[in-house]
Amino acid sequence: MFFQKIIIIFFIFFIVCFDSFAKDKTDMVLIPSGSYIPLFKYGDDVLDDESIDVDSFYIDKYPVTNIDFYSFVKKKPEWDGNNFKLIFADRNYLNHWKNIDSFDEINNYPVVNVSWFAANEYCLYLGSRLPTLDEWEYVASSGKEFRVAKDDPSYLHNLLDWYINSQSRGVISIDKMTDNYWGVFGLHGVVWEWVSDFNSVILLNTDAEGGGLEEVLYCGATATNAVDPADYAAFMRFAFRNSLEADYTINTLGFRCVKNIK
Amino acid sequence: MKQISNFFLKSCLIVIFAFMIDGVCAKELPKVEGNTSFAPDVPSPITRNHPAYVVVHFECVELVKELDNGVKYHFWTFDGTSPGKMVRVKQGDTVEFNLHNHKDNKMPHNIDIHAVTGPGGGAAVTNTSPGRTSIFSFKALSPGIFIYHCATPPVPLHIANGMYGLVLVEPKKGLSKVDREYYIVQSEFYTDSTFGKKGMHNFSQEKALMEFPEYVVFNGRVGSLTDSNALIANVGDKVRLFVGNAGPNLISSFHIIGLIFDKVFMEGASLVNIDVQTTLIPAGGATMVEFVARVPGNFIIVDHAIFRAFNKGCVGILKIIGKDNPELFAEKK
Amino acid sequence: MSVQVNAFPADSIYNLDLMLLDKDGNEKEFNKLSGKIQVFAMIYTNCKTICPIIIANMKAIEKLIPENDIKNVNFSLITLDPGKDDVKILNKYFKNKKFNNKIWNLYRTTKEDTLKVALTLGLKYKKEKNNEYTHSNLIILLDDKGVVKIHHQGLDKNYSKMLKTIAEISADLH
Repeated sequence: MFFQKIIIIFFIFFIVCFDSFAKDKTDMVLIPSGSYIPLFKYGDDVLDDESIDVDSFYIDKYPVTNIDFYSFVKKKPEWDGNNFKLIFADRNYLNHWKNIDSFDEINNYPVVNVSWFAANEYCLYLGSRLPTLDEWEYVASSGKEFRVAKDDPSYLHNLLDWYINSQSRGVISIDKMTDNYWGVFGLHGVVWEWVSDFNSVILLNTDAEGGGLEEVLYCGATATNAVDPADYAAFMRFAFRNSLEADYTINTLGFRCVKNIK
Repeated sequence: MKQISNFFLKSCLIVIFAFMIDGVCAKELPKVEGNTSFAPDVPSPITRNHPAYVVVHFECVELVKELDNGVKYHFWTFDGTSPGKMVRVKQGDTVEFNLHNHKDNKMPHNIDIHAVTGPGGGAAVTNTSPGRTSIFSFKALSPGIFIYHCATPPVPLHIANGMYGLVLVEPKKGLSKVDREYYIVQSEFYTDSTFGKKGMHNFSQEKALMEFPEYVVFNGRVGSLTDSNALIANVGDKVRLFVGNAGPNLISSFHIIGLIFDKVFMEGASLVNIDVQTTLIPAGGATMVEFVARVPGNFIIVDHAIFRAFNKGCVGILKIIGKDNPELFAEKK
Repeated sequence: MSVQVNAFPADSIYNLDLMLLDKDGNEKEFNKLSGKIQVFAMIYTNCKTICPIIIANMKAIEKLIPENDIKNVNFSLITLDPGKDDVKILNKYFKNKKFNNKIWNLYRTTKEDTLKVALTLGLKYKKEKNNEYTHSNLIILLDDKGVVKIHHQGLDKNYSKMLKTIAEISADLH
């Protein structure tokens, strides 16, 4: 009887340890399905429905931190700062982990200097994935008080201040981040975040708010026009994504993961 | 007779040979470093009489700078200054443009150079993430003085925050010799505070959309061309000003109080107007003016939409030093 | 997978571990494309606008490669639309385009792996609401080890740089 209890205790202990590295749903927030209006409307027809539907999913409350990513790298050393392959990340990968006195100082700051491949691998390892552009924009379209942030007249103004001021403020730790309507922290004004399909952003002829495609560079179906040319913060996010390649590592670019509803 | 025809034949052969050599040489352009300078200085005139392959490097830098005494603003710049460097090339040059985006910047940047004939003026192929470099080349087809600016969405914000300057494409025969050349760019700043109020000013989208600036300035700040920064000329100097208007919104009515422009290269192009008091500079455009400094004194440079000069900072000084010329100007007591 | 981790240079796209399915339904490890110089493009069969021109340009490049070198070169197309471009459709497309079976192949893979291939090659694409794709025009030249050598604009008829590089790599392979 005693022996059986020991086995059961060991069994439970084993399950807890094994499962503790899987993505814990308490670190994630459930986002119910809905729709949002994206920055760019794809379609020539004025009557084309602007909004995009998004299925429900779980999203990380916070961006992935340095300590989170460190645990991953320990388990998957082919992704550490010495062993990584240049096809998957450029030479600046995890540069900020070198030459620091104490890793403790940066534990709870969003991990940056990670490429799309590294971010993607991290999420997959935890049984999750990178958010799609629509998923990320959908969650981020909510302010604090308002489900649709633009219903709050001061929202766009505050958002722009946030984006521009974050340049001199620098990156902040997760305990200093503020949340939005869904309880998701640090979506704006902290770090840019990878999305799985960032390479679907094709922006050209942008002196005006929209424009046709360059046939010389792209084979394409439709023109793109901005739905809300006053949403400068959204333009900044799209312009940033447009400039990226998957191996880029940038010291203001991090990520978070999402997970499908089973 | 025989000598003449001999001479004629030899001359023809030499001329033909010279053309052949020129044709061969044109395929391989000599590579030179770009001729650049920071405002209000102008790069020195180009001395070569043939086209070249000109290599230019710009670096995007985001930083906090003063817009006015005690007034700080988040500037986005080319090479840390607003306006950025002035570039001087020659019609027919091929320019290799290297755009670096400093790794500590937060924003992607690119460049639209109005001297470029090609998609986006270069913007379509220079979208550059922080820490990266983009390179493109263009042929300077037309002479003139051209604005360049960042064209990353949202474009008005990138211009409003200070990313602009001038590229001079000298005509094939060059510009006439002058004694002084200066580089000026007028622009506006839209902030959430009020003119002169000390502290941090932030970009105001509301004011920008209403075209209601707090600041209208020369060369990126109040006082850039006044007091110890005043432009200098001697009596008798031939003076040439390259003046751009980066906007983002306003048209400039460019005037120097107390003198008349002998020549205005209208809109920075090849058509010349003479004896002009005030010339228009479109937003996203430029002008080139020439005059002789005839009378000493402090000559005030303004946008003659005069509230801008008086209340928003759009004023500079040209100090002309030298002997009085009472025939031209004299006080009568 | 039996492939050694260190078999390819650090910047080779064959470091991607994925499986392709070709137009005949044969499975092929992605890194098995190595050993040949690859002229590569990502298109989809339903693309009626610029893709036919890209393919025409690839065929023109094929014709210009000297007989001595062509045995070292493959032309490979991976579909951007694996949801629609199944093996049957790829096969039909291959026959319609009259590609040389010894030199050309068409492939499909999973949606996730399609994205990874595009990302390593620096290609952009977006699925539009009308189920067409907006995508980069590029023709990519890879050496035999999977390192990207040239990004060639798909509509550009000036093939000199591409041909020169193929000749150089091919010389090392003889």
